[in-house]
Amino acid sequence: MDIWQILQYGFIQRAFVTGTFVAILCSSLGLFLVLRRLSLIGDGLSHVSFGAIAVGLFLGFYPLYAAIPLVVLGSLLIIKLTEKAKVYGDAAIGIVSSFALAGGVILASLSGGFNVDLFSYLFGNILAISEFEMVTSLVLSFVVLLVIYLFYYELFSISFNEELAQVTGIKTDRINMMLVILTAVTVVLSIRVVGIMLVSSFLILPAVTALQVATSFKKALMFSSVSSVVSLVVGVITSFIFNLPTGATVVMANFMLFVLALGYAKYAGMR
Amino acid sequence: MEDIISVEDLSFRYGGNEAVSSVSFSVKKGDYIALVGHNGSGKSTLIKLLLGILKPSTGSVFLFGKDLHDFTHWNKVGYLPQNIGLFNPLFPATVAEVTALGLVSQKKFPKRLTTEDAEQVNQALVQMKITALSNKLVGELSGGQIQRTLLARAIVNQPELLILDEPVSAVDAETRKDFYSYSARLNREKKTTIILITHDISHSGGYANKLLFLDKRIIFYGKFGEFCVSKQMEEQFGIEIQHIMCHQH
Repeated sequence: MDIWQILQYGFIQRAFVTGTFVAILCSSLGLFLVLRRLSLIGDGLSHVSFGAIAVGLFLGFYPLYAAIPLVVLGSLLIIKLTEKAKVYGDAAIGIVSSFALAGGVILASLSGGFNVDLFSYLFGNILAISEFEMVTSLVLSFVVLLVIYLFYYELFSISFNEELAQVTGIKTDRINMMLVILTAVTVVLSIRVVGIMLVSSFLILPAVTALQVATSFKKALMFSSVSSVVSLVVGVITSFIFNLPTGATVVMANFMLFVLALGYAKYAGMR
Repeated sequence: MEDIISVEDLSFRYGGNEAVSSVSFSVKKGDYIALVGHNGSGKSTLIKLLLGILKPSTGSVFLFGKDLHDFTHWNKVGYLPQNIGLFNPLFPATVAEVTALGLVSQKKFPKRLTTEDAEQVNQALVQMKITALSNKLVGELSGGQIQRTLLARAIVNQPELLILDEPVSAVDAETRKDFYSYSARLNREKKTTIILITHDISHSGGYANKLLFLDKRIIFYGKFGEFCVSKQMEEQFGIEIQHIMCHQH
């Protein structure tokens, strides 16, 4: 079967369209998170999304509907714990994510395990994305990307140095909160593509790949998106041909690109 | 003359310790103030309080006649922080991109830079003699080059108030001399108000018209000439050091 035949399938087309948007979204946001040393917030919020999806499945809602507000709530709780309770940021992520994960496990146990449903959220199933899920992902991705575009200089500025950003009149608290909320929405959108277990790699790997070879901030954003989309396309096609789990194959493609970029940067004396 | 900065009974506690204690002073337009004091005397803390980076335990700060809480004209302020070593060496921004960040304060939402802004950035790079580094990543620069880049960023919006926290700590003698003559020219020709933190008391009289000596509280605030004959100075340094410092500039 050649590539053109593969592309004729509706489920492959939906996977590419949704995956491309989510890939650009994750890689753009991921660059700001990596530079702000907030990479692990993606990991923490993916654990929160496990608990949130379990709540949705337990109550009989469409799980991603429950996940978006609950994960945003989790992200705000992390910020408030850091600000008001004098808990370190990484410790706050640990507290909220372990609480949500424990809650999810208890709900799964009470309802007899949710079986296949929960498994598909844990490891993603991009090839099973419905038209409704595709449209929802596109609309939300567009909104998040628009917010990133409108607040580009604020995000760039606080990523470079928060004190300097403050002295240019940027309300750093509000931008930080916005960044965390955008991350929460992005994590939920990525669950169908790579799954709860692999979301954070989708945020981190394209950004660190771009950092190896970028020669300006704008190019770093561009390389991060290109690397993420290439990994997605290569990962989806490879997984289809060799019958491998798609989310994991996409992450492996991301990792390979990172190794290539690292090797190139060393060879070219860039780092 | 207009007060650019007015500070009333400002204190800051960190843990149980008082880092700045009941400080009151005002800065007039066109002042060039050398802010001096021993290590740990609260100089950088005071600057951070003036810029709203730290919240005071008590007291208030007015910038350009406005309470700091309501102050929005950040395009009038340029700031160079002390710890350039804290910048992420992997940060993927060029010298021109970092300099351009100094223009963000004068932009309305959604903030966008124009071709005129690019020209302004270019002028700041020329003034700091780093045009050749324009497309270089900040992570590839030496300490002195980073400091020049951040200075370019601080002056790119032609601020009325320039606050510099040890701007020449990581640079060679020639750059230091260049910087002092440049800052003196800014102060003289454009009436830019400057506050400069320095350890170099002996040379501060050569460019600053006032000296603020801090040791958690204000020990002395006034003209350099008055400082040289002040009792506080004699108590702080002894008469021999006083003689050396006041006859060097």
